[in-house]
Amino acid sequence: MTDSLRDWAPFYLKHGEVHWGYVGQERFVEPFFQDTLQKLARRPFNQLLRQRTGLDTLIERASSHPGLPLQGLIFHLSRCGSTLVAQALSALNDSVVLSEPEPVDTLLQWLAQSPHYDPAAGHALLRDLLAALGQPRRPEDRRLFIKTDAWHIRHIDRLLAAFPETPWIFLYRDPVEVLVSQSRIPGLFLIPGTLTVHGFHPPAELPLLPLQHGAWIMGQILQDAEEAMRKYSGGLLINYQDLPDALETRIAQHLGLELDPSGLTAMRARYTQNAKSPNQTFNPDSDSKHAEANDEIRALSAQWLDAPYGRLEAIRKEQPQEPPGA
Amino acid sequence: MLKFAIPPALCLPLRFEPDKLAADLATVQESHWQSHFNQAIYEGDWSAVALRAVPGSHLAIYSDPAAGQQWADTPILDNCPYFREILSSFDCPLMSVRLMRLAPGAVIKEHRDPALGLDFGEVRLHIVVKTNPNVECRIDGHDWRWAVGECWYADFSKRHSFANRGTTDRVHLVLDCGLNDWLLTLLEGDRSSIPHYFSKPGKPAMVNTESLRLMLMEQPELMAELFDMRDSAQFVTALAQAAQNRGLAISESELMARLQQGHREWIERRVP
Repeated sequence: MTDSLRDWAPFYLKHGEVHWGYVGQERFVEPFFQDTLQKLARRPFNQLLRQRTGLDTLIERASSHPGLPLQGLIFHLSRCGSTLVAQALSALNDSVVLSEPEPVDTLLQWLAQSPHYDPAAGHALLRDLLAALGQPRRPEDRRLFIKTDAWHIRHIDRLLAAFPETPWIFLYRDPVEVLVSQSRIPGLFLIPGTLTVHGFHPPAELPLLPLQHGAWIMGQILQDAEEAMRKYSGGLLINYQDLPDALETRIAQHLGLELDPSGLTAMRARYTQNAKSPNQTFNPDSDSKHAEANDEIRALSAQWLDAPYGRLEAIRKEQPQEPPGA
Repeated sequence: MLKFAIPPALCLPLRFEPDKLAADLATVQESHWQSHFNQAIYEGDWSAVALRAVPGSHLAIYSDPAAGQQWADTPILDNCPYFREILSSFDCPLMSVRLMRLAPGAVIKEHRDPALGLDFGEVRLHIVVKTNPNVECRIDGHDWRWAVGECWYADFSKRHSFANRGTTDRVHLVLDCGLNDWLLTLLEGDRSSIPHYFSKPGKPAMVNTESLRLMLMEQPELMAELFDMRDSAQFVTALAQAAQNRGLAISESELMARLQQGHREWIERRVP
């Protein structure tokens, strides 16, 4: 029988259906999954020939076509170097890296909004979706990494139930620096109301302004990370200030990367660039961001972020700073 | 009045013999076929032969609901004994009777025939004389498969479209019948054995791309070549040509319409 979905991947989920596009041998090497998808979806081939199936097809196919082993989940606070880490991993020729894949976000929304849905079936569906997204399409493909959306730390129970024992990382940064970045170019999730579908219900007295709402959201994200660190043993905290050096040391060790010289060279070449603007070089910019912080930002950080940040820092400092034998 | 709601299309409990249908069709000469009058709603060759018409009408293949009771057999029917037998088995007034041919590649675009329907006391029935697996028939948003020898009622006041994507003609014997008790009994009769829909309603009538994907899966090199294309017009031309080579007649304009719809769906993917 011909395999009608070979080298196709879920482009988006809508109304309980999976919309598949053809990917062929293309790699997801753009800073975000959505950037690669946009390029692929714009091709006439995918405009005309995208196919649509029920979720049952996703489930059936996963049983005959298991995906690459998921070797790491990267959670983060946003604006803290997570794209740099995803880009560095995608420089490894044997790694498939999905950076904030939208179909996963859609499925997590569905599950968060369906409290009566059998949790085990939900976890299976997550595995089935990632099997479809993380198919080996090139002979070199060996393993899968996912960088989640910032708010997905709230789904860590679901994700680790679907992928037990998977090592995970939580990346974060001095909250004043993150707020400065978000005030320069606000992320969409700062808009009040966007994350209620993921179970974030801001207190009624919170002003409905993006930066205020965003500070509260990010406070929640830090708290979720702290809880997860206490609950699960497979986590590693990485502060932005540890980058990029931690990539070759603690991160590589935690994710089980065995970096050969060519992998190391490729990774270094990638992370000396600014992850989101590949034409610019990566520069730690903590000092300039602190210089830009105004009173409002400092007050928001003090109100929502400083305390959970401090607690995470305390946990991080208890972690071994260098891997054994490094 | 009707006791039951009638679906948009219904296979009647009548079966006709494919060999005899084919034999009568073979007696019709090419010169008898006339292009359909309404050229705005189709592409390719859609033509008809009048077997019953208003004598002397130059629009003999045009079924005119206002033409009254003056319908008569045409000389062509003299050579078609099985068609005559079929017509005489219909115990209801017969008005226009035509053979209608959809040649390979021909497409009847989606339209409605508002004055045709049970409410007007008139029923149009299709007896399938000749068809092929790549004929598409869509009525009221559903896909139907009509087989040779079957007799179908359809409500053509609903939106409908046909396309012949195969390499051989599709020919129907189309009967416009006056509604009487005999016909009502047929329409309301046992439906347990009736073939049913192939797709969900509500989807616009568009090219089914499944056959194209199947075709490309068998030709990986062609698939890779098409996947690499960035220009829509060039892509559509190449795909239509490839389909043509495999005996699948699909016009470039249909492919372009489907492509544009697909692009719209992608852009609107987050719209609830």
